[in-house]
Amino acid sequence: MNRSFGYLIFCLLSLPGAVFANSTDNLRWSVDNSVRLNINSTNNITSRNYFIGLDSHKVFNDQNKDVGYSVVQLYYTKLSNQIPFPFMFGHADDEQIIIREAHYNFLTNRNSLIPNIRIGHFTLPFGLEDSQDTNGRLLDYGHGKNLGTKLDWGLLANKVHKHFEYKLSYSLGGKDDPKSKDGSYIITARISSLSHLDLNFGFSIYKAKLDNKARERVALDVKYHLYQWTIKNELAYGNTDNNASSYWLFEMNRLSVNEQWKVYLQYIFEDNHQQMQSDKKLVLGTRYSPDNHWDFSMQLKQQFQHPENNDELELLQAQLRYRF
Amino acid sequence: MKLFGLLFLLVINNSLADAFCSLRDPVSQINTLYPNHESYISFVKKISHQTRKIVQENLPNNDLHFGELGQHTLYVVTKKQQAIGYVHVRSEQSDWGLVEIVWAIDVNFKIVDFTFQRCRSPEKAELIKAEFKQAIIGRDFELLKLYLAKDGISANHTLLSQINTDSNLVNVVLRCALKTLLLTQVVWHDELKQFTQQKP
Repeated sequence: MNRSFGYLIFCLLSLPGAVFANSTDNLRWSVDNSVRLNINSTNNITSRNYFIGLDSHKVFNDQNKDVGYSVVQLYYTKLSNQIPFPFMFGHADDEQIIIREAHYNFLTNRNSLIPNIRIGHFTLPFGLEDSQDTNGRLLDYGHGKNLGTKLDWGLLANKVHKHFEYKLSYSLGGKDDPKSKDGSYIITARISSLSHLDLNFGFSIYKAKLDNKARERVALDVKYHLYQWTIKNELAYGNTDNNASSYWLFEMNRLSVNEQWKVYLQYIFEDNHQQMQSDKKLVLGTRYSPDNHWDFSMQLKQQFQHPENNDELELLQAQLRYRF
Repeated sequence: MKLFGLLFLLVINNSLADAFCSLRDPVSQINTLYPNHESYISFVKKISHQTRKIVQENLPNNDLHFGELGQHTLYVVTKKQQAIGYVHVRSEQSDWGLVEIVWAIDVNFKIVDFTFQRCRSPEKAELIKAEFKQAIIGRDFELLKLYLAKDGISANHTLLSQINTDSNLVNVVLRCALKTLLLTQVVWHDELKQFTQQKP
């Protein structure tokens, strides 16, 4: 816990301008609370997760222009009977201060080809997750499972041009730790059409040495909005320690006219050539947001084909979230 | 845990429904609306329930969607260290969900141009045609308000006679333009003083 605070203080003090700028100008901050219930029918385990976090965003500018912005998200996270538990935790009932996003983005001149540079702990730019942030939600695009980690410490070059945008990152492969472990590293990149357009498509690459395994991935993703409907597709192919693997996610969702309700259906296919049988899942979920503060979501994840030696997963999750 | 107790005491109501890492500046839209600009400066301010009342008073029968409360950004677009205009993104409820429009406003608070950031309506193509834009470009809040029908939420004959569509999206864009001009002047009044004094 002390180590996490140390990184955060280091990060904040390292930010140029942060020390001198008016600390409340252009500052957004919110306390983000949520409780999550997980009912796993496969192993008859019911677990709960509690999150209390501080989410902040600050823009820094001089007399003439924005020079950068920071994002810092610090969450107290408590597990209760969580089996298996994420790598950051020591046991099924552990509690930790978790740093999610914590980075500073240096902005360069718009007419320059020199990219903006992000430094810190950020989400790896790959696939659908890059244009659709799922932070703090039940909805997920398999980022962590596919890449080995969702976030990492490092540098990220990025720029939005007239007809396309891109991100290219080099990170240390330490996941929540800002250091390389046993020569770990991650290179990730995504180039895409402009993310606000109704039709958005991207191409991503990923090469890493992570957890003492060599990993490579390429992915194509497409997102299309039509009226209240959205269709998303991500197709990834690669290998982990020379074992070929593939991943396909298809999602269809619908928003209500007032945007308080969202319903989504995902089909997820994963194939690892080491296994005789591929993994196929359906996820049916809904989200209700009556106002700017409350958010209730629920989803059922049902595996209908699973690799040998694995039990069939049936997981019901519900989450209540309140931001103020 | 003491830290979080302190945070609860200090907190101010400035929330956003989604995590802040999902915030994106409308970089490509600013480039489209002000192709010759050199940079921009952000000013983040809170749209409060008090502001909501001001909208209801100045535009009877109108309201702000709950997603429009909280903190929002106005971009002052600059060239050669001079403000050449403002950019603000506002959402308006439509038959096809929220429509997000990026507005370009000059330093005299008149509409310069607009572009859709998000619009799922099939009628979008009609509204980006020159005739509709010509009808609203150059108008300030008071002049634009002359296009409102008596119900306060739809376009009147004066506007509809200048364009080839009577789609509900016309009403949506008109309401959005009016709220944008009103909120820009009310909420960012202090920050924009320095730039309005620069005006030619």
